[in-house]
Amino acid sequence: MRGVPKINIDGRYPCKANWVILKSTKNGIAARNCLNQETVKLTDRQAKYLMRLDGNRNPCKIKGFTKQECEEYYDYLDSEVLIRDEGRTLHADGIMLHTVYIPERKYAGTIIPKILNSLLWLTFLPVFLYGLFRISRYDIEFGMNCNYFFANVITGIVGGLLLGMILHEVGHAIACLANIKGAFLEAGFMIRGILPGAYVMIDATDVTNRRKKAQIYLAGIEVNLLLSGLLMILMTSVRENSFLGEWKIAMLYAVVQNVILALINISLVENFDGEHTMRALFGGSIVDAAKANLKQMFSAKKRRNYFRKNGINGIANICTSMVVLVFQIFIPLLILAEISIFVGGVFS
Amino acid sequence: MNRRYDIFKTMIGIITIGLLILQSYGMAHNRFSWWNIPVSMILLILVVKSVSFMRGWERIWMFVITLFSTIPFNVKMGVNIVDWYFVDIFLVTKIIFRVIVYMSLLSAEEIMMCFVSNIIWPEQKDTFLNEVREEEDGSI
Repeated sequence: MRGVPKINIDGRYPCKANWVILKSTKNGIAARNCLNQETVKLTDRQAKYLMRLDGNRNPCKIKGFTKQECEEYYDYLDSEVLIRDEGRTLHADGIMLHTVYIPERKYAGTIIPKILNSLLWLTFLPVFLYGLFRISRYDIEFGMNCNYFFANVITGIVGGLLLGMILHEVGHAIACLANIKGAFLEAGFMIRGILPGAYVMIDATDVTNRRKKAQIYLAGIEVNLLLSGLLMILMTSVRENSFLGEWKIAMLYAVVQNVILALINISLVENFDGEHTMRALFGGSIVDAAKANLKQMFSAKKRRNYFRKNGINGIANICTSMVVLVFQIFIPLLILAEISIFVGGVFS
Repeated sequence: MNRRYDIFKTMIGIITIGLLILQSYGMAHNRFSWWNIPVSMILLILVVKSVSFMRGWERIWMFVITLFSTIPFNVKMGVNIVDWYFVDIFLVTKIIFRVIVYMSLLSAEEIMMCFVSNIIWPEQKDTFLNEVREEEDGSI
């Protein structure tokens, strides 16, 4: 079912969640919940009831359904998180999501995302490498006595991070829409713990080509590298006495922020872009596969069976599994590094 | 005859891995040249192509060989990048950040090689996901 029925999430009543994609199958209606990646089977009546919830209708009084049916269906659909009843702000797994934009059409109707996506994956690496080349080739005078030094640092760090995060998510959305079966569901801001960020909700389940699916997850990193490259080229091109010449330090900090964003996101940590990319290329969750493979090593009998089935290639599986699991300490290591900077600063 | 041929191809594979590690070491200690990267990738593909038991398992073996052959290069890049960015910090902090940079670089290299192996060898019979699929089937 293409397109989005007009729902009003700011309405008085709960509505059908925009992250639900309904599909007719041989066995009935399949409701894919893109928030928790689960698929629920619905009857025709349940699906019709769900489609009627547009935020302006009382869910207990839907025309064509009895009161008992309304209550029963509402409770069931709510338990499966197919109904949106919290307005624009959602809370899920310790993350607060605030929806800013829900597109009228889930799927792209024009060729523009395809063109933009092609430009993105063709140019991000050459631009980034050329930027690095220019940085290494040309001496950049930053002018530590410049008038706006403090403003430069703040603009570079905050502005670079904000721009990097927003464009990162735009990259994912464009890459998803470039595929005919990719859906863009919503975009907004989130707070994970105390850390702010941006998010887009996309659905690439129906994209069967593994490389295209992997490119959707890599698109955010591509944007960050492209932005870093453009800023490096700009930094080495502006004249010293021009308006932009005063903001070179800001550009440098913005480059660093975007490169750090790219390096963190590309890691094989679960639920980061790098892991999603490998998941798309391998055809399944590599972290779960790694855990399942290593479980076989704990008992002598299972170990023997495992190597009997896989032979010498089992060694490659186990090696890969160990590396994938070691990667999961990336974030704790990053936090430890930040703490050690602070501790180092206190004691020095 | 087949066994001798397989052993011969395995020896070629091991020598090529040695060349790859040498290449990585060269990149780490000499002036960096961009042509080293495509040469390294071609050597890696040659290794995987030449060894018989890797047939059908190219993707997973590309992962493993990339892991070992990029050690010298990634270590050197980790040290250089952290020394450039952090001029004067705690040694412990430097070491942790070097590990972080190493892991990020390794992730990028693994993803790139996985892409390449998907293009060259789209059909794989590797069993990396078999155990988790059996667990999921058993729990349904």
